[in-house]
Amino acid sequence: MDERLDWEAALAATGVTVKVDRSVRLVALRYFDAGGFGERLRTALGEGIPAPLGFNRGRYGAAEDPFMLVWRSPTECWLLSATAAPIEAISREIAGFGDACLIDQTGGILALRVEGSRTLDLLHRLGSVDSVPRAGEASTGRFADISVTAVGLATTEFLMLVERGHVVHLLGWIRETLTDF
Amino acid sequence: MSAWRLAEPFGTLIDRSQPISFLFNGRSLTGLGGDTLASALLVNGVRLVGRSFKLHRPRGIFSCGIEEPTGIVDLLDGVRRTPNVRSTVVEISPGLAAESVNCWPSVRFDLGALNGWFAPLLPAGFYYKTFKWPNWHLFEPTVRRMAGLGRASLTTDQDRYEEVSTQVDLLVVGGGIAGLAAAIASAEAGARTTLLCAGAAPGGGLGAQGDPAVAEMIAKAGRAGVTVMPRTLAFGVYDHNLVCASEQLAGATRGPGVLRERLWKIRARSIIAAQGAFERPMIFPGNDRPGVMLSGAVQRYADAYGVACGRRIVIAANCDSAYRVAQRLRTAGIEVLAVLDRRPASHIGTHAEGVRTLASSGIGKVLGASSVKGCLTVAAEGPSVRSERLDCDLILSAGGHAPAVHLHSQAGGKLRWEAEASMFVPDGPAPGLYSVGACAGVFSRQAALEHAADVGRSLALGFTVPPAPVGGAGRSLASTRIAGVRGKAFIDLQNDVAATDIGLAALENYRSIEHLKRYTTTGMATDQGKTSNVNALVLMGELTQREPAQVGTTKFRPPFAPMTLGTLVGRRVGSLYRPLKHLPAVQWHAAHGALFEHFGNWSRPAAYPLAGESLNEAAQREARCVRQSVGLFDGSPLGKLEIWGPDAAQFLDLMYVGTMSTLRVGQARYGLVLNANGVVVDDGIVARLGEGHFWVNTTSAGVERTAAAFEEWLQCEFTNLKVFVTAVTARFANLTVSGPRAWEALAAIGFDAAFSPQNMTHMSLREGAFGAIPLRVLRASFTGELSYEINLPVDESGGLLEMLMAAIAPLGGCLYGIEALEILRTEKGYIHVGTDTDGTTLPGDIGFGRAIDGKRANFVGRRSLLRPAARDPQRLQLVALSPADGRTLLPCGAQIAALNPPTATEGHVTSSYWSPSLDAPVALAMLARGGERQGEHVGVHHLGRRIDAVVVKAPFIDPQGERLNG
Amino acid sequence: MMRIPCIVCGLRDENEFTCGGTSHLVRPAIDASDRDWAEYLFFRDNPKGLHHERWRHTQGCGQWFNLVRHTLTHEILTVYAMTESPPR
Repeated sequence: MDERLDWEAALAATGVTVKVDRSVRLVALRYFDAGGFGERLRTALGEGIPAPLGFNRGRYGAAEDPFMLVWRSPTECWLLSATAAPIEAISREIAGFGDACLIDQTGGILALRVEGSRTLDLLHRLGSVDSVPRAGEASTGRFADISVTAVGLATTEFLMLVERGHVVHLLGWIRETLTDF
Repeated sequence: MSAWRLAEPFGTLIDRSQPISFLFNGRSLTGLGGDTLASALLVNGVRLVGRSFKLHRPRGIFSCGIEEPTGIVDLLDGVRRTPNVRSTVVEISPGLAAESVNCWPSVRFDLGALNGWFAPLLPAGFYYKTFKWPNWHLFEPTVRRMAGLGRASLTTDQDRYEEVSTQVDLLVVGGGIAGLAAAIASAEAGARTTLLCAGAAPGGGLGAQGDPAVAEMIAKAGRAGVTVMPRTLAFGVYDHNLVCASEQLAGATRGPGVLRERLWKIRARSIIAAQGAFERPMIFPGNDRPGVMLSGAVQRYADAYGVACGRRIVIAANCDSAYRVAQRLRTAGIEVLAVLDRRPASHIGTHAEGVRTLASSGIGKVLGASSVKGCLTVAAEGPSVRSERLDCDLILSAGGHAPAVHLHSQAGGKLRWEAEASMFVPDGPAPGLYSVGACAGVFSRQAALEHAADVGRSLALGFTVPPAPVGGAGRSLASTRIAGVRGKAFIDLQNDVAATDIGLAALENYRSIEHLKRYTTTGMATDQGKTSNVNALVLMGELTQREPAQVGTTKFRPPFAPMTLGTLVGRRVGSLYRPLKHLPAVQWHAAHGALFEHFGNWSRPAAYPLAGESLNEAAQREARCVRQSVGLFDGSPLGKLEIWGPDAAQFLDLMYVGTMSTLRVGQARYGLVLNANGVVVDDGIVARLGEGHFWVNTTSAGVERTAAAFEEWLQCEFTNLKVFVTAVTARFANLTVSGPRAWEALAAIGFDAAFSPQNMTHMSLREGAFGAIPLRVLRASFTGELSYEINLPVDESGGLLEMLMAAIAPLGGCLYGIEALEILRTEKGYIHVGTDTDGTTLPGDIGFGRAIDGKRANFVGRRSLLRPAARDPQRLQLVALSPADGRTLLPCGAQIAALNPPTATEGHVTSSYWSPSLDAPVALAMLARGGERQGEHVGVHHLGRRIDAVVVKAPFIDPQGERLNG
Repeated sequence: MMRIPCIVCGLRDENEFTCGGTSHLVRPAIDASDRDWAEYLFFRDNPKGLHHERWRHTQGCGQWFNLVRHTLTHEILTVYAMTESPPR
């Protein structure tokens, strides 16, 4: 089996590790009116729509299920969660609501966790310095010639959200880069 | 031998304790660590390095740097071959092997030298007037063999390259004293400062001389926090202060498969150009002879490499720096016979102690066939002064200086001609780029240091940047040539462009500098005219009564020096050469014998060949299997868009040919997407999921393009429509089961009866579940058989895939790939957008004329369909073709005409396959007036052959479409 | 490679964008003459100076916006929303 196709295996070099996090559920929230939808989001989950190029983290329910809301465009943000509960909560809140919808993208958009002291060295070999978000920011840019939404969890810890069809290509570029690290 | 190794303090860059052996033309030679190939060849007495491009004249090493025009070699390193390398920039390493270029059988006895006998027939531009009769094709193979210098490698580049992005406040290009001064001042003022130098270490020319002040500056730069990047050449300045540089990784000259070069993409708030100045050669007869070298280069060979290039030298001069060179070389024990200064005595601003100087003089002739053995002097005033013979073994050319204004010019900076020193200097800064040092025309050491520091500090702190104090180079004449001296004098040493060629260009009225360049090829060799451009334009000015500023310079374009293609490509090789998409179940398919090929931007199974089967045999078997029983196909790449919103229906009517707003929930319809020109750019199926909710399938290759088109209309034109377009292609796997026994297979694994053909009509979409897995099942068909496209969340699709595989086995079913699908859809006459259609195909050409007339709503492209060209009855229309003999496969792309050539083409074959179900070929074509030509015989022309074919009715199989219903 | 100031994301390399050409073109109605329709589709001014054009941050936030660029120097003078009128 061609090891390049095994996209679930972790990649590592001194100062950086890269691994797909299969536990991430991801739904796209789309709304015509950010103000109105933001209120419903706050009602359901306790967090509003993130500011442009930002992300909000929160906890839902008695079980304190962690979730994240990532800004994607003026009419879209993504809800990431390890459990179904936060997703079901917002889904109930907007049921029948004609101004917003929820589109499950779980499995279609994969989350890569990239962390380590040399994370920025790696990211600057995938894309431009301009495209790498600072800690606390989330933005979409061109990495390895494809579109990737990067979330700056900390100065050396990122999530890279990538379309599943491209994950082999992205990991291939990362693998080649780490070989020369 | 006229060359020897000098003792210390000469040789600041070499390591005398490290001898290194290398090969040149198969001969083993020895140099020292730190030697370049050029310095090592010179110290070994090698003067003849190659042959010139056109006339195959003997060529040697001319300079000591990146501007080298003639010391060109091919490097051999195991299986790697690097052509056209400048020997002056390659450091020797153990095992390095180099070969002369453009000569056969050897550089010493080169048959190509016979070209020299025909030189009068081969002036500039001769090829525009020759090689025509009787047929230019006859000459082409010979010309191809003779073109070029080195030989390219025929193997894949095994080395590795990467690309890095970085940002700095101030980027200094050039590590000489001016660059260092600017970098230090900038860093000490608090700016993030990076300094690039092309050589192994900063220091420049003065550093090579061992000037202690330079070493102190380098240390100071380190303390100030300047990031110094050695072996990094800035090859281009691009928009918005993007500097691209290539870094040679030390030690990467040995062994394949290592990181060899790194491409830096540097965005700098400000750029300082400090690359110094090139030296201008003197123009005199025989100035191309090996043993004629630039004066600064000879000094640098002594200072940096401890190589004395000759014992008895004559200097042909047009500038004051020649005298400093003379003085320096005398301390090395080299005898300076004379300085022949082109300038009148009044222009000469300095002298060299104990060196004979003749003003208003030059070289009239060079003695020695393939190496300098002496020269004859000539007076500028005229032949009345007696010519003198000087027995020198090296001639130094010191015509003046030419600031390296390349990066300044690339950045949009202007130039002005500084008449006193006869050089082009930057006329003020370029946007975002400031020049310092000799690069700016500042030749006084103190002035350069002060100005450079001032510029660095000002940029760091945001102050006004002071202008450059141009000067300090003394007075030089514009022309380095003594007119009226007979004999061939060269301007461009690599391309063999002589002064007479410039004259020819002026005579034939190619007077503009851009015409001069292309007509004579001066400045177009691998050195890009670094030592010839100024001489060429000055001479053209002389011949046409224009000042150099009036002639001007050609446009400066990146790259500044020859680039390795791999460096520009970086990681984009092999499977990464473009972003390919892979199936979610790629590993499963590979395990089941898939033969992958690239279809659009996807890697997909073309077929699943069994042991011993060719791709074609597998496709035939799979296609037959689908028609006879059932096939399983991974349709996951098929584009999927969710269109949602109160205005979704109205929007889809605008985007598609075909009315989508009248779809009932659960109903599906085929539609075409046009561009504003009315051309078919995508097709697909639209199904309604709800009042304001639609499921759209596009082609696999077109989903991004179609989704982008939809977004453009929504964001730019129809901004009042409330619609979301969300791509879900990757979210859903699409498992397609197709064939007369398709439902049998689904029923066998427990699919709900609601999906049966009795309960679910063709062209309908039903939501449901398989166990706990939600499904969207579409009954649509690209094969012409009963088909189910089962869309389900990708993470939950693995199990169903296995179950379907098991279910079709007892039914005699199989996996099928793209090749089989192409056979099946061609049998049915279904088009593939981009294969059967091209950039001119309108809906009416493929049978959609009536759908358009019947549609009331406006749609994208409609207006273009009302143009006269769209209604032209002669238009190409989609037809089905069969060969008259029932056996010959019609080649794709073959031209169709009723008459034999020469005749106008009436169309072409677009799809063509052997049908296993019919045991005969099937083909589709675009044919003029195709709709009216049923039953007509036409000729299908291919590579001189005519195949008789008949226009038949499509589809070839199941014309009533009954098989669609199972 | 220019650095384009996306109206949402800020400065990014040009290769993240698609250029949509001249902005503020008015699409003729369906009853326009063939000539007017052809001019709308194919005829463009090619100014040596300021050019109003539209860009999409395709590999970023996906938004369309307008900008004013000097065609000789590539200086980008201002950025404004897709639906806004050109600034003076």
